Amino acid sequence: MSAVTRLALFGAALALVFVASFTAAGALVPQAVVTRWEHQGQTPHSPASTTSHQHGGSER
Amino acid sequence: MSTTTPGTGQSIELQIGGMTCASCANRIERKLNKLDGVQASVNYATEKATVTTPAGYDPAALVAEIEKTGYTAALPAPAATPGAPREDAPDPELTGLRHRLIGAAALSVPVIAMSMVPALQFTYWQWASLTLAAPVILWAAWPFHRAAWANLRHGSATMDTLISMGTLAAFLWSLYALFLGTAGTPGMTHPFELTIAPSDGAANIYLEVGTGVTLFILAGRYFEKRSKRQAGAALRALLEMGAKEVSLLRDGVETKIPVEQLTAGQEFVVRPGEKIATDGVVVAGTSAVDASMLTGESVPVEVAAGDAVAGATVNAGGRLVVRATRVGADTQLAQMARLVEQAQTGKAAVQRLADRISGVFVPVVIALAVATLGAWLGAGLPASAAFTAAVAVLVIACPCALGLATPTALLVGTGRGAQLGILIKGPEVLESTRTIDTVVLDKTGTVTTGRMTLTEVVTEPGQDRRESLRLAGALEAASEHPIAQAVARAAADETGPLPTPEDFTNLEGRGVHGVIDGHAVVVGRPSLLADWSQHLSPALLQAKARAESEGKTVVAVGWDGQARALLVVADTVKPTSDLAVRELQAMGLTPVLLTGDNEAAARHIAAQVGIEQVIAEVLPRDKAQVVSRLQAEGKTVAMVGDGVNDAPALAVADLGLAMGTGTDVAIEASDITLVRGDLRSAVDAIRLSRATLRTIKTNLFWAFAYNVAALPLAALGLLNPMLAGAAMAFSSAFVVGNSLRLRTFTGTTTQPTDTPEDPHA
Repeated sequence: MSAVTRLALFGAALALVFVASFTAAGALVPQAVVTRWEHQGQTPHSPASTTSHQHGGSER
Repeated sequence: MSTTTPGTGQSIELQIGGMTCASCANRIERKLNKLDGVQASVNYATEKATVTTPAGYDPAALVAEIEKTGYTAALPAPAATPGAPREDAPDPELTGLRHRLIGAAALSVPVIAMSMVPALQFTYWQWASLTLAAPVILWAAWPFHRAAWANLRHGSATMDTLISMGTLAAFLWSLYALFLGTAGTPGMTHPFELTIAPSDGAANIYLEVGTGVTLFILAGRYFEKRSKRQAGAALRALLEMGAKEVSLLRDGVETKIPVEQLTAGQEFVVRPGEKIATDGVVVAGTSAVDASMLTGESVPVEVAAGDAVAGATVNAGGRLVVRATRVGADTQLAQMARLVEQAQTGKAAVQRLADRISGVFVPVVIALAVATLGAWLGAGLPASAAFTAAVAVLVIACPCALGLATPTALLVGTGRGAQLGILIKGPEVLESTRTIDTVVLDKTGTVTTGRMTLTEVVTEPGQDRRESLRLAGALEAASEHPIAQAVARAAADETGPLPTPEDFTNLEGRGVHGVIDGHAVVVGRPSLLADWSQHLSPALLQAKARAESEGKTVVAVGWDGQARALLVVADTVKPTSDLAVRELQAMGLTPVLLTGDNEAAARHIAAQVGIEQVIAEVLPRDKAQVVSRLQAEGKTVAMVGDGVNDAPALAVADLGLAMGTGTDVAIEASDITLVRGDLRSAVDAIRLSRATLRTIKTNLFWAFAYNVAALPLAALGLLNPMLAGAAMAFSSAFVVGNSLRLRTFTGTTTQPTDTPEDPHA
C-alpha cells in the first residue's frame, strides 16, 4: 500500500471518528452538563487576577 | 568507495545520515532498489548502504534519490593508502546532537523552573518562557520535526512523530494562549495545584512540557548514539594484526621494506619470533609456526620447504625463507576481515521498541484528539473549548520519559556489567538474549587456557620423575617452541632453577639434544630418540598411544643411551569451565563445542566439561557457516570466542561474546566482552542482558502509563499545566528509579568456587 493511500485511508478513518463522536455526544450528553459547563465559564475570571485557572472545586 | 567487478558492475558504499530507526533503513533500501539496475542493502546499525550498480553508474544519482527520501548520503572519504584503514573521523551527527542537548539544557531548566514554581513567576515570566522555549522547541528539536515530516511523507509514525506532534502542539497552543488568549496578561501565574478541575485552556501555557520533552528525549538520543558500536573497529584491529615490515631477500641480500611494498613471487626471511609477513610457501628452512590466533590450533604446526604458511602467524622455531603467494587484500587475514565486515553489515538491527509502540500509539492519539473535538462540538460546547481539549490530548500524549526508558536502563545495566567484567556494546543486542537457546563455545582460550601445559610425566620403572623433568626442562628452556616452553616452565616450577646445557643443538621439527651435568640428553619426538637408538619400552609406548588418543602431544626424554620418560603436554581446561557449562545448561541453553583443533582433542575437552555436541577440525571461514547453519535450523545462537578465527562467527551470531583475554579483533567483532576471561561471565552476561531488557520494557510501559492515564483528563478538559508537568516528572523519576535497580544485580563470578585458580591461566 503506498503512503498516499495509507494517509488517505487514515484521513477517512479520522473523518469517520469525528462524525461518530459528534453524533454520539449530541445524543448522549445531557443539556444540563452543557449548561453547567457554560455557567462555570461565565464565572468572573479577571485577566488581572493572580490565577489563570478557574478553581472548579470552588464551584462544585 | 567503489570497486569494479569486471563485466558485471560496480559496488558503491554510501554513508547515510538522518536515520533514526530500522524502518528508515528499510525505506531507503526500497527506494534505491526501485532504480533500474540497482541492488541495495542498507544497515541502520552501521549507517551504511552497500549498492551494486551497472558499471559507470553515477553515485550522485543514488545520493540524490536518498536525499529525496528525506535523508543524507555521501561517499566515504578515500583512504590515504590502499588497504590502510580509515582514521576515525568525528561523527557530525553526534556533535550536532551534543550541541542541541547543551543548548536545550541551558534554556529548558529556567522554563521548567518558572512553570512549576509559582514563586519564580515574576511579571511577564510567561514571555520570558516563550523567549527561552522557542529555540528549544524549534531548533533543538529540529531532528525530530525533520524525521516526523519524512515519516509523514511515507505514511508511517515513529517516536519522532510523537515527540514532534506533542512539542509543536504544546508550543502552538502556548502561542495562541499568549497572543490571543489570556495567558499573556502581565501578572498571570500558574498556581501549584494538582487538582482535577475544568480549566480555561486559553489561560494555560505548556512551554515546560515542550521544552522538558525535548530535553529528555535529546539526552536519551545522545547517550544511545554514543554507545552505538563502530563496525570499522573490528576491521581495523584485524588489519593491524599483520606484520608492518618484512625482510625482503633479493640476490642473497636482505632489505627491510614496508609490507605493503611486497609483491607476490618475492622471497622474504622470517626469523624466530617474527610474524610471517604474508601468505606464502616455505622455500628454505624448517620451523614450527604458531597459527593459533588465526586457526585456533593449540599445537604449533611444523613446516618445511614446500609447506604453505599464512600471513600474521608467528614463526616459533627456526629461520624460514618464504616466497609470497598472496599479498594485500588477497591474504587469509584480509579475507577474514571481509567476512567480519560482511557479517556485521548484514546483521539486522532490531527496531527500537519505542518506535514499534509509537507506530500504533500515534494514530490512536490523533484519533482520540479528533474524537474529543467531535464530542465537544457535538455536545454543543464552544469551539474554542473543543480545540483546547483536543490539543491537550496531543500535548499530554507525548511521554517525556520515552526517550529515557532505554538509555537509562542501558547506562545502569552496562555500568553494573562493567563492575562485573561484562562490557555490553549497545541496546540492539539485548533483544536477542531473551531468545538465546544455543551457546557455541570456542575451545582454545575460551573453554581451555589456550596455553600448552605439562599434564603428565610417565617414567620407566625406577626412573626419578624430578630428574627426568629437570634434564628435559634444562634443554627445552633454550628452545622457543611453545611445547618446549611448557616443559621448561613445569620443570622450573617443580625442580627449581634449571642447569645450563654445556652443549645444545636444535633439530627443527624434531627436538633438541645437548649435554647437561655430564649426561648426553635427547628430548623430542620418539623418532628422534629412535635415531639415537633410544627406543620406547612397551609401557611408554602404551602411555604414548593413550595420550595421543586424547589429542595430547607427547615428548620423549632420554639420556645416556636410553629412553627414560615421556612428557605429556596439552591445553588444559579452565577451572571454572565445567561449572559455567552446567549453569548454561541449567538456564535451558544447549552448549556446543566448536574448534579448529582435531576431533580427539576436542572430544576429550568436551567430556571434561560436560558438553555433548562437538564440531571439530573447522576452518575459520567454516566457523561462521556453522553458526549460520544453526540459525537456519531455527536456533538463536550465542557464540563465545577469543581468537581472530572466531571473529566472523562472533559477528554472525545473534549474540557474540568475546573473552577479554582474547584478541582485539574478537573483542571488536563481538556484542559483549567478558573482561575476566572466566566462562561463568558468559552466564552472567546473558542474565544481566535479560534483566536490562526487562527493565527497558518496564520503563517503556510506565513511561506511557502516566501519560495514558492523563489522556481522559485532557479529553474532558480537566488538564492543567501542573498536572502535565507532574506527569512528566513522575514518569521520568520512575524510569530512572527503576533503572537504578539494576545496580543490585549479582553475578556468579563474584561467588567463590571450590576449584583453585590455574596459576598459568
